[in-house]
Amino acid sequence: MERDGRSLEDGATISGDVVVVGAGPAGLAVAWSLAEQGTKVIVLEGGGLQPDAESSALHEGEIVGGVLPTTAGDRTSLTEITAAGFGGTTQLWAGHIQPLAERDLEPQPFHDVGGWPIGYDELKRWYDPASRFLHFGAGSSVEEARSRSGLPEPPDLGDGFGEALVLTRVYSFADEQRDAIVEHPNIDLVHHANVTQLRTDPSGAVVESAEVRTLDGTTWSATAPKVVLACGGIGNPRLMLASTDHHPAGIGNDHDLVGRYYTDHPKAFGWVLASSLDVTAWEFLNSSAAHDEQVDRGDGVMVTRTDHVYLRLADDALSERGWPWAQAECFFTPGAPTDRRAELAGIDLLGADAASMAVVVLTTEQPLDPDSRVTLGEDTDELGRRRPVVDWRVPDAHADTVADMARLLGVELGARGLGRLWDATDRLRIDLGTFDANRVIETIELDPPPAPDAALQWRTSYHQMCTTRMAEDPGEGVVDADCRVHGMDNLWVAGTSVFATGAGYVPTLTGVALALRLADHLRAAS
Amino acid sequence: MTHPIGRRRFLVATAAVGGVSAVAGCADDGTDDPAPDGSTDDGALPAGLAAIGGGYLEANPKLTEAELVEGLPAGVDGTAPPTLQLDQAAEAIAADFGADRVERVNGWWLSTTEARICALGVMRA
Repeated sequence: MERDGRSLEDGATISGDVVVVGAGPAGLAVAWSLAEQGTKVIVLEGGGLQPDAESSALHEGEIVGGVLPTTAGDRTSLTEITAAGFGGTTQLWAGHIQPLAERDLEPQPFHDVGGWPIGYDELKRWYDPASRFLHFGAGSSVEEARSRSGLPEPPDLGDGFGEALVLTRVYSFADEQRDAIVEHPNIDLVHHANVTQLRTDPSGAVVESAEVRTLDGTTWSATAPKVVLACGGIGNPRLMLASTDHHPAGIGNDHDLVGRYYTDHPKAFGWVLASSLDVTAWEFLNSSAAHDEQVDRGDGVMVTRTDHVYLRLADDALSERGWPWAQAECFFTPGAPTDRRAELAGIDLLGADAASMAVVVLTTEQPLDPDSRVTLGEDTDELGRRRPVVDWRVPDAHADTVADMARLLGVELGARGLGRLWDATDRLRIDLGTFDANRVIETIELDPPPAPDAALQWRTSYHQMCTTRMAEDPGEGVVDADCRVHGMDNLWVAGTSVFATGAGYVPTLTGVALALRLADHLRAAS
Repeated sequence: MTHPIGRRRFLVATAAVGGVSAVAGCADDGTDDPAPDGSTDDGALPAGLAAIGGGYLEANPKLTEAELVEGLPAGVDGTAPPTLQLDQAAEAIAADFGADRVERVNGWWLSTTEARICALGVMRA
């Protein structure tokens, strides 16, 4: 069932077996999985069943530190990277899923803290259920999806490049999931219900209620023996830091770790590929008709956009160099004027063989930084809650690593006769909000005036991770391997905020896999 | 006797090894390909190559012509048009990338051999 939180009486208390705070993909995965097994679940969602501006404004906050803003230089809104309402951040989601690799979970030299406290096999077994929950069909692996689709094999770029394909569905998760949730007899979805704080018993170890305030001014509470936070990488620490009745520094924050290690997959723009590849010959990558057919069938298979090719540096190559995960996204530019492409590829080394040109974006895992964090500011929202302050930091040394990665990419492409890479980091300035690779090629200056600051520009991948990271040691993380908040008896966290590291790309599938695993754990613990 | 592999054909061949049909409309008819930019067999140094050669010399101002030739494959000595020399050096260029012998010239990541051929072209122009 679903109801509007504004319709509950002031001072009311509602009860269930489990309270889930947040109706994004992770929260809904926990709720649905538990409900299917007979557990009565209350889901509290601050927004509505459809997005609305008033609820969205409650996500607004302050951005400091200079890495965000996210797109155009004058945009500083957290509402650009988070979303209120049913479906949560899937409203902003490109519909990509990709499982992590085994290496992603291992301790890495570029992090000052340990790796994931769970083994890869433990995570992997939840990928297929997560894929089904996200309506991607039976299998989460590219190989299975390719097999189902009957699409041709993709080009094999040889050693040095790893699997770079992602599964994509262009669809609305919220629209497809809504009926299954709101009609579920064991789910009580209460929307427009914003949780202001979690109240604990005097020991501070047991959450007794989630306190709710609505934009109509009513206040009420929800209680259950178990509480799961699933408000996202910014919302989870925001609520934990605001829950101070028996925890002056915030719930679960005895080690001052809640909100720290804020991590994204920083994107660096600045390279151009003059390639001998005729991407129109990549039938597999241009199978938009096949894609539409797949979507219609509900199988959800598409590998990439027509003009968009992923090149992923192989895990072995990365491990050998002690580098984090990295992927090059090549935005080919079939629409750029031919003479302009010829001018830019005017190195003439490829000459007429420069069949195509791409703007290259390097997306990477970033080293964890405890000073990259979410805190609470002094400003408050319409409900009196302190707004979040996001200070996303990318360590300076990471820029050097990315420059080295670009060099390796240039070498690997050259060695295969696939093209030459041009480092244009001193002349490319990208506005993601209006990003058009063809336009970039059209306007890039060959001889720009010296840039006052040629430092790499980091851009967001719209991923917010690690702010309640998972670690066995309470001194290194906020939740344990079961996603239970250290020091708390009945509080768990779901979603990408529990990631121990940023790891590989596109976190939604892994976030949902961990949420389903958490539901299984909660069921077993009953 | 073997014929030097055309650069264009080399690109196609190496890409094909990777399973990619690389260049549309590139006929493998066993003949030498036309010069890539259509204007190079007359010995003129295309602007792009001149820029690379100039950039390389600017970064290595003490290099002499003899030293440049010394670092190039046998038979590539700057007497033929640079575009043909690049064709002749295709295998050496691929080997450069394989062995991480690369140069950053005017922002481009290039093989040392191709950068030196361009530099030689500038010196001889």
